[in-house]
Amino acid sequence: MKFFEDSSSQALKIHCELLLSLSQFFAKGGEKLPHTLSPLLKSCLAVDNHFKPDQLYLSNEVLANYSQANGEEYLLMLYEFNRLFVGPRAPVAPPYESVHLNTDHLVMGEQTLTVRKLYRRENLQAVWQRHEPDDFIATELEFAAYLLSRIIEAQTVRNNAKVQLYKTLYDEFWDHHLGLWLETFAQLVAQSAKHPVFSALSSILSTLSKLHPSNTKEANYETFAPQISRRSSCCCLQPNPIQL
Amino acid sequence: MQTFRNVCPRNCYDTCGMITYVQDGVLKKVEGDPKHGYTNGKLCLKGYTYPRRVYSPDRIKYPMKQSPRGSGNWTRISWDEAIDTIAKKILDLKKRYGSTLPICLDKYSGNFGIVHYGVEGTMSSIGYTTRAVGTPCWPAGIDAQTYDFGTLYSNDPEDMVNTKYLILWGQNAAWTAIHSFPFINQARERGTKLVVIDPILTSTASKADLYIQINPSTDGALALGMARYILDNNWVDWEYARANSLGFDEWVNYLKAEITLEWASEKTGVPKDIIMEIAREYATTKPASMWVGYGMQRHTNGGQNVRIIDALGVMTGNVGKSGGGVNYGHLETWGFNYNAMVNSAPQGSKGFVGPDGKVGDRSININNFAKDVSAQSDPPVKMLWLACRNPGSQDPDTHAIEKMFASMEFVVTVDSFFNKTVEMSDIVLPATTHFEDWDVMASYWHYWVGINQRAIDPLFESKSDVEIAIELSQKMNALQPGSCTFPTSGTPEEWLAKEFNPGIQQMLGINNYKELLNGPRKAKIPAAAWSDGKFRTPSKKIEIHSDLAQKNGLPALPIWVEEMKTPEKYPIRFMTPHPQHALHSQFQNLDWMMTANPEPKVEIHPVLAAKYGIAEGAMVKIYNDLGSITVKAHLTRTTSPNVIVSYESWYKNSNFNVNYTLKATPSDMGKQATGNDGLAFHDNFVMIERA
Repeated sequence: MKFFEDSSSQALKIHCELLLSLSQFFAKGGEKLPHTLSPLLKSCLAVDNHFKPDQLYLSNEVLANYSQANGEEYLLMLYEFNRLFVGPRAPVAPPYESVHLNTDHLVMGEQTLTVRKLYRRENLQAVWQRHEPDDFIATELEFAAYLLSRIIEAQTVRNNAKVQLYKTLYDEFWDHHLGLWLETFAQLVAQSAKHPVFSALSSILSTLSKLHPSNTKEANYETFAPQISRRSSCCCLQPNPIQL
Repeated sequence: MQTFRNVCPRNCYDTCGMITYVQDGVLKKVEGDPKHGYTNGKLCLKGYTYPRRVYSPDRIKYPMKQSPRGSGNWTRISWDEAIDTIAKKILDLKKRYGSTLPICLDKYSGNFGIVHYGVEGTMSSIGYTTRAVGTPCWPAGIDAQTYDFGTLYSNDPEDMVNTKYLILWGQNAAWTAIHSFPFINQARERGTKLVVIDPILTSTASKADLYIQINPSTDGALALGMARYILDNNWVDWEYARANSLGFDEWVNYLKAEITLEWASEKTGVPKDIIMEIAREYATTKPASMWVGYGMQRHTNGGQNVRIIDALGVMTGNVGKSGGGVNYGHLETWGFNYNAMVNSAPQGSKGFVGPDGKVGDRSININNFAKDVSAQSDPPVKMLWLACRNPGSQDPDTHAIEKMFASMEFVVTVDSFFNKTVEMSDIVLPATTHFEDWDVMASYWHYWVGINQRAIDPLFESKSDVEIAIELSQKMNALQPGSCTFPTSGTPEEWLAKEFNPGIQQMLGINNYKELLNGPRKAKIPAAAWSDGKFRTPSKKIEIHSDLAQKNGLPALPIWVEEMKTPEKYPIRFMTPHPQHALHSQFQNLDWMMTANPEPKVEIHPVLAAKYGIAEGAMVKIYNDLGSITVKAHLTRTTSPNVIVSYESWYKNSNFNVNYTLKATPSDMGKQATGNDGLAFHDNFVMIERA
């Protein structure tokens, strides 16, 4: 069953948790894998249980195995994380949208500023705006999770217009941004990964990608965004200070 | 859209004025500053790639540490942890050895901005340290001009529009000083003849009216042959030479006794009638100009060859003239305060006691870095700080560099991109690009000075060298009060402001540095160097006979000194000049450059290639007793049958490095003015075989 085919609150929460745990995985970095691998596993188990996507259980087994690893193994994962995503050598899979979607393949491209504007419409901005690209994968995953959380809130109060709006916004964000490059990024990780955890990660990202049907419907945008209440697991987005 | 003024801070003649376009805090485009009279609104192919440098996903983003060094196991760390680790190591070494002499700085020209002398300031502020002294680039020629004129001082390159005859001597302006070409072309449109003398048929040579392919390292012999012919035909400007120089007649006697056209022709490989042609033209066309390139002096007799060419300029009365000159470079516009550089050592610091009894830093030779570092004892060098420098890629004898690095306890590198030096470091600190910093830049060629504004916020966690110094000072003093004197306050712009003094302001015709925000300024000095006749030698005259040179163990006169002989075992000269797509190890790694120039090549004459069975595109092993490299062959007649050419550059994800074969052979001069002799980069002899 694919996302939005099942838009029950439970399904949305499971999806949201996956997005947030993936966001944390990238945001906290390789140095915090002992803290981020288990939540990722937990959210993947929930996805597997509810949506039953192909082959995800295999990745979950890998994560389960390595989330119990000793310090030395975590070091190996850390070095691999930095080799793939950070540096100081040229990262194999730079985790920024504009690098993959822009013909220039640079950071701070046109897509970066577009997502900045999308965040701003919801009174949000990236925590390190102007220093770090706004289209960092962790930030985009967190924003996608935020949009899902808006749907869940709207469902709770039975505000159907708002539900529809945020579904449309989510589709827009997915179809024009995160969803456009996630699979490419996943494939890059798959081709280059030297550690099983990262092969598993690429499968998880591919699974996330496959959960979404394509939907190019444009949104008639009208913000319902209140002041965002900060959850402890969010770290890439903050209220836009200009709006405060 | 906002615009900012920037200046390219690279080690380049052109030091271009730039206009930077920024929208929503993102650098969108760069172009040349139209108010800059030398840059004239244009950049070079490297300059136009700057947005790709700033926003390359390859940029070093955060402080990182490698465990162990050389393993490739990198961990991201916070700035606090990085600075804490560095500070503790410095203090540890100080405690163990009683001084900070075990810490060695190697810094040069990766960023020539004046505020970047804060790197040296960092070292001064922790105590007396070991310093790599000298310059790899141009010291032999600097000394030559120091002996002859008192210092190097070239005409304003814009003045080339006034020349009637121009010799580019071992100078490839088309690749390394493109902005000079419009001035050259203006002169040519009025009939000026362009002569290019170079062992390689470069892009510049391809534009010449006359190209002379000379045997490498014999330029002095050509100049002597020309001088003899000029003398024989009485085209000498006796009045100028005798009024303005010492030792001219002594040199004339040398020419008569020792130099013939036949000898010069045989030595240089230049036909006699060509020597006669250019001698006559140079001597009789007024004014005539010579531009001596830095490649030309990268030989064991390089400095002496420059002295001979200087003498040629003097004998024809072309020194001190608009449209004339023996032009090499200048430092006339570099009279800043160097406030970021100068900090007193902390109280009680122990240093190196020099021959004069003064206590200070310990100097080692930047041009023999690996061996000199390894040779230090009492105390040994245990820690390296690299900034604006990449010895892993750029220094001779790469194997020795690798071995020396491996022997260090701790290595810190500040850089924007991963390279060989970063690979051999314990900690790398991410450096800002010049768009993310305030600075002021002068040129060693043109006469303009420009301000460099912070156009965008530093990307990721990058910091400037001064910002790094401030953090280090704060940490060191927290750990051990009084252990570092680097000031810990001031915005980047305030640091810039402190570099200005009345002298430089008067030279530029400004009252305040902020006036440079409206445009770069040209120094108010005469366009013709030495037009006032006030030479800066001990005698105040041009010293064709130089007692100072003689005191330093060199010939007093500009006489011929034999070039390095080709060794029997390695009969092929391996020249490694400056590339088009890079400036040393900068730029080539960028995507556009890797697309345009994806791999290194070695240029081999077809006759030489046939001798060793090497076809176009074949892999060639180039080797000598120092080391080897393997590189793809390109057959071309732009080089001669006994010279192969590969451009010194660092390619992304490649171990290509010409310096695996290059010995640290000193050139003949450099010590007098720059502290150490230069490097004979182009006196590298090898053998080749199909790989």
